[in-house]
Amino acid sequence: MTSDSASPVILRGVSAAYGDTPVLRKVSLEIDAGELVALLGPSGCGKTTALKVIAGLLAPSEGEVYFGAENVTPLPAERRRAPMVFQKALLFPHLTVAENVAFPLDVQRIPTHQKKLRVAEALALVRLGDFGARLPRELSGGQEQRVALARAIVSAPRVMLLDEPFSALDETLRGQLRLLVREVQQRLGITTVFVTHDQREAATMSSRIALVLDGGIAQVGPARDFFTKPESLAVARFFGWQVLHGANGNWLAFRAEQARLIAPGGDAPPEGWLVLPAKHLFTTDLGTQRLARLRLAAGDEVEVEGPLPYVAPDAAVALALDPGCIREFPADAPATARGW
Amino acid sequence: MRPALRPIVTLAPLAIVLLGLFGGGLLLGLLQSVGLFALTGSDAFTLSHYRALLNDREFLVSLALSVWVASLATAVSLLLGVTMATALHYGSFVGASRTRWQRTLLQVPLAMPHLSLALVVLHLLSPSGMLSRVAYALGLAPEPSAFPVLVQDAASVGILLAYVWKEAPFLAVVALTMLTRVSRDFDDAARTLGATRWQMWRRVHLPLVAPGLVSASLAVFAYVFGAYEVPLLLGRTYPAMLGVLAERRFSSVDLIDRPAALALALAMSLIAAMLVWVYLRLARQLVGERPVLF
Repeated sequence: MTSDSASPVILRGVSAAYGDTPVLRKVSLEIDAGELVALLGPSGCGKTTALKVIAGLLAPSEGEVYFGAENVTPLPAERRRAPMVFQKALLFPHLTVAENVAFPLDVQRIPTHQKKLRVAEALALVRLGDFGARLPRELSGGQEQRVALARAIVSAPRVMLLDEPFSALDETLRGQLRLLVREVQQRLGITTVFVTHDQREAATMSSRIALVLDGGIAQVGPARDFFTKPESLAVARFFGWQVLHGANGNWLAFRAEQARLIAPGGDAPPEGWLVLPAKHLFTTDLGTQRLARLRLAAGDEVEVEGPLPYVAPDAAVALALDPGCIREFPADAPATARGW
Repeated sequence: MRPALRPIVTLAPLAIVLLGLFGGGLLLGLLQSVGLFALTGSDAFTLSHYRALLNDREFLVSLALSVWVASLATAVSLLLGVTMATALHYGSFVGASRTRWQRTLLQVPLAMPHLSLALVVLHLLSPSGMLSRVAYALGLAPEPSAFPVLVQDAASVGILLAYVWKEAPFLAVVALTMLTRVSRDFDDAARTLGATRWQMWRRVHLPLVAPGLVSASLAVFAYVFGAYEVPLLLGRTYPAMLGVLAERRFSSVDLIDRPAALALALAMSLIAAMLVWVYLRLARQLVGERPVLF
């Protein structure tokens, strides 16, 4: 297990389809060697398809996949050295944990003594050093995914592909496994592509996020960019920006936590802020914060989040926005993902 | 009703019939084979009929023949069945519709009784059968009787053919059903881990379907070992397979022979049970898991 074999991954104009249904449309993406990039997007957007194309499980209808300088497009999955960890751990039920982890080394005919060392090393990395003799049915869901991770890293892959590996686990376990994957990936320097539909997961794990919407990459960049400067209305919507019609017909987008709710008789907003009259619909208590839903005069419904004052339902209130925190998109920008 | 009693009560009518008829017959046979309740009036316990079997050359030759035919028929059926199932399973990767008619074809022999298949084999392979006539018509044989003897022959080709024809599709259907239950996601996982198709088959598919195949092939082995109708039609008079020999001795007009015939039949059952045990031991060493018994 070394990081020497990690490759950059480059997708050049990759399209893919299932039968006659196109799923990916001319996707181009460059991932540096040793980098962890999250492919983020809603269900059915094509992110898992992109991962399958990188793995070699699905042939692209056009475009190429490169691992470094090597065009791997014609290579079958078994020759790419790009193990994939799936939503289900998919441990082979007839093999013990150690045998499962040794599987990639067995098929490469690695000598036994070397194999044992590498399996022990991989299991120690995922903190399952004492679990080698167990069968998969004797493991919990989290342990199973850790074994699947060990199995993926044991053969010093060029690229590691993770397809929502924690989606079946509870939140506490997910948090622990995110940290573990990040730690293992950084220690070994394995180029990793991580598919998720969870923004928080993508933000906490990856150095960059590639947002996939409707079969294409809508925006690539650090997580912060998506929360501060979304490049399109669809990206803004996916990342939870609140959207309303501006006076000039353009779309105005803002973060719920950056807006203010002005209750009847409340303090006026700072000079220069945009103030819009609204009706308070209801407020949800989030524990440390409150989330209020408002209906603006133009009919748009938006949310404001923060330590909000109590406001009665149907009360007349105002929404105050800092102009520096507003993103404006043209009136004809598609409001949904298609055609971002 | 207490939950623990429910299965017992539910199964009781069937169990009473089975135990009464089958168990009762077995007990009566056992008693008569050791000289008790004999139809001839003799009522002295003896193991002489069992001891006599050890020196009974016809029995020993029949035993060897039965083991040979059952082993070979099972092995060939298993090989062919697994090969067919594999081909169909991987074929359906390409498209299920392409293999649908082959799957249907596979099930045809399953619906045919053994006796019918034996008659078909007899009709095809006997010296005056269809193949010999076709061979003669095509000039491949100078006359129909010159066609190789493939039924009632020394190598038991006819018997083997009938059983392979019947059992290979059976084992193929079992293997195919089990293969279908192995998630295709395992294939994707194995491929990205570097396994070729052969390695995937050898290291993932085969071990997962093997326990079920051991059970199914065990049933085939036990069935062929004790078979009667197919060896009667397609086998030689001497040596006959054990089932035929047991029936022939049991049907003897001389009732004095009856205890010896029963001893032979029970010895056959005991040997079959021992062979099944050996088979299971070997299979467990190979498969590494307890096979599912029917």
